[in-house]
Amino acid sequence: MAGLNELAAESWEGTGVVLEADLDDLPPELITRIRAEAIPDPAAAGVAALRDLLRIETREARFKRVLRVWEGKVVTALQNRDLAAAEAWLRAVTERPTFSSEFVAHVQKAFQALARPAVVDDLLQWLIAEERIEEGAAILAALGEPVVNRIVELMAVDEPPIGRRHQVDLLAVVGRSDTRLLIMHLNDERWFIVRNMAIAVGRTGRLQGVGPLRSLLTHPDPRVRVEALRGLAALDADVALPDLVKGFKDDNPRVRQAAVTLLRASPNPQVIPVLAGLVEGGGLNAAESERLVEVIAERKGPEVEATLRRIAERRLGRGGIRAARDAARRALKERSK
Amino acid sequence: MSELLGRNFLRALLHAGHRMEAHPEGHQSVDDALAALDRAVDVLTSATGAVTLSIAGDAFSLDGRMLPHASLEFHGMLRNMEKRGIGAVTVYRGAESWDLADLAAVVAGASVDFPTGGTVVVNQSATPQPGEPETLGGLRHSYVSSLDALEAFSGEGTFNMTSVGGIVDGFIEGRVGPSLMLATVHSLEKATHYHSVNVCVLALALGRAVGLEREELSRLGTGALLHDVGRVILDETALSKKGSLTREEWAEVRLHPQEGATAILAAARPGDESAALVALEHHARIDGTGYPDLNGRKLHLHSRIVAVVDAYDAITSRRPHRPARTPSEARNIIVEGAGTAYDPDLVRVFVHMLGEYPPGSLLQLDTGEVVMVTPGEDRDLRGVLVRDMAGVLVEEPEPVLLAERRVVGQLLAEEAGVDPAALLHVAEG
Repeated sequence: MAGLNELAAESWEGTGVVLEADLDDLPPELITRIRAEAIPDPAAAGVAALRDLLRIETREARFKRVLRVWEGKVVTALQNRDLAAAEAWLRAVTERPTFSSEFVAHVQKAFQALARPAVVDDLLQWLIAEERIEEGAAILAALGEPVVNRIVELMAVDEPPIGRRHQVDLLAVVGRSDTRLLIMHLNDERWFIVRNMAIAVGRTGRLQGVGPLRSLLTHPDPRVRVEALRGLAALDADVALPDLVKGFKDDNPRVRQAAVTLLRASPNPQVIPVLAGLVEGGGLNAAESERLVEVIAERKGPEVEATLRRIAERRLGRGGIRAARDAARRALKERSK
Repeated sequence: MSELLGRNFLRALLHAGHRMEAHPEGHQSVDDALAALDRAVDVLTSATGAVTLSIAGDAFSLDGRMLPHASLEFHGMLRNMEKRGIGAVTVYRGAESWDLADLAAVVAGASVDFPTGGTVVVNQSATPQPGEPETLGGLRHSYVSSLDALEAFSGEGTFNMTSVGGIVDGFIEGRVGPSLMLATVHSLEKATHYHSVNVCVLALALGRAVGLEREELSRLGTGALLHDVGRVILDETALSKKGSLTREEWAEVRLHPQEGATAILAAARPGDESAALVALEHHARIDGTGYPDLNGRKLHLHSRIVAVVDAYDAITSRRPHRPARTPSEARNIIVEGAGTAYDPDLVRVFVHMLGEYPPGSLLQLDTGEVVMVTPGEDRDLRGVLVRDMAGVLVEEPEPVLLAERRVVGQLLAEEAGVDPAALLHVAEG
């Protein structure tokens, strides 16, 4: 406050007049300091106002009015295809909530009204048409559950406005920020919902999905088990290795086929000893043994040849082991060419 | 000074209408108001026998001569007359009190009965009117448009942000000096609207002084113009009450920032949203006190600008519970609040911008003359003589250089009997 007395004295002296843009007598750093505080983002100011309003508004009816305004802001931004603004407005309510806990129910209701099917469908279809699903990741994540629920609804429709491939793409994007939103649908009674969710969980890249996907390996529908295996392999090839091995022993040939394919694609060097163990452990039929040896032979590295030689040199064995030995010999012969 | 006479007539007419609306026939205040109206008419018609007040475009004309200032000050009445289909009113010398009373009641919206006595004739022009309707130009036009926008909000509860943006741009086009004179317009009717427009004008001047870019100025102006829309939503009774407010009334008044912010957010286009923050924060102080409680967070630059000029206009305006103060007194009060209520950096720029005597200031000289300060291009204080040594109003204000003159006091507009904004044309050159 010391400067203020000085200010008053200074300003009371002399008889100035208003001079347009005449700031010569004011220290330049003063103007620079003030100008530096100009906030270029008016939307951020609006969001700040909204958050304050939600915090200070204690009258129920007025609080609901503020929520309606908020809903309008989000929807308008979505309609304007301004995804950044839509996200900013959305998070004004959903992130670090400022409102009183007694109004939580109103907020939930407003959120439901905001994320109504017409709004969500419009957004999803636009993201797909414009091939901007990745750009929409933040707003999809911010919308979260209603998007997932809507896609689940669409999965059950005969001719959905969004195809399955895009449904899964969208789910994967939402699930990247919160995998739980997808996991909660893994116990759906409809196999195709679970299958699609398993694919999406696998694409999230989130290890939280490992456990839930693993639990699907016992799902009664082999199509689900196939995608669970694929999902596990996509999440973490190393972690999935034992699951792939188990998958190879699945009753269903499609699951076994998927396991072989995934083992073949797995970069994990442990694939060779694991497969060799399967082959050498017996219990496989001839065709299965042959295929695993082929998978081993396709890989590179000094341990491949050593493993093939070991299998090829087996003297005792019947059925699968014999077939494996023959396959290993053929592979070695082929490699020596 | 026909504009002055015209304004006196309109003021008396409006006052009588309001009194008649508020009190029953025969009430003393009604009789007093009608007597004042009779006197205003006598003075107005003494030279010509009859005068015709007409509405052309967005302005009043008196016998074909535009009354630019009256068109601002009585803008509400002008719009009210338009709504009632009144395009012209001819008043004859010796007009009967009951005719004038009928007219006053109609223009105040208290009655639909036009005068029938023949001494006041509605929509039957007694004097030829100019062929082309005159319209207010430049800053005055922006001022009127602003009042219209706020009036529309009063009526409909929503506003067109595109038109608000256009209005603000109009102010930005104008020069600062005349703008500051324009910001001295006050009206007892719709005082909040006039205050809001003045705050807009002053905020833009201060925004320019701190070097804000055009786009930012536009946003600042929008926030400033709309900063008090919450008052329109709330019960005006508490806001315009004379004397101290009850606890409940005060609590009601303190809600207007959040009411305004909500309304602005609802209407704001992308890019306009900062106006909501200005409405919300304009009564918050930089020391974290004030209202509403914003948890002591830093206030937006626009809000801090508006807080300074809002206080300045409020202090220099007459309010139901207190008289107006002079610009110098207002400046002192604001400087005292620097660092607690107001941003000291902005106060410093504001004080510098206004100077010792801002344009529109009415100065009493040691000779008895009254001079109104006008904006200049240099630092020499200059003005125009509005009252001579005998205290008589000067018909055509004459330029005065104040460097050699001795100022003995500063007058309020009502003390000087002069409205600075009525002389805007002098400043506009």
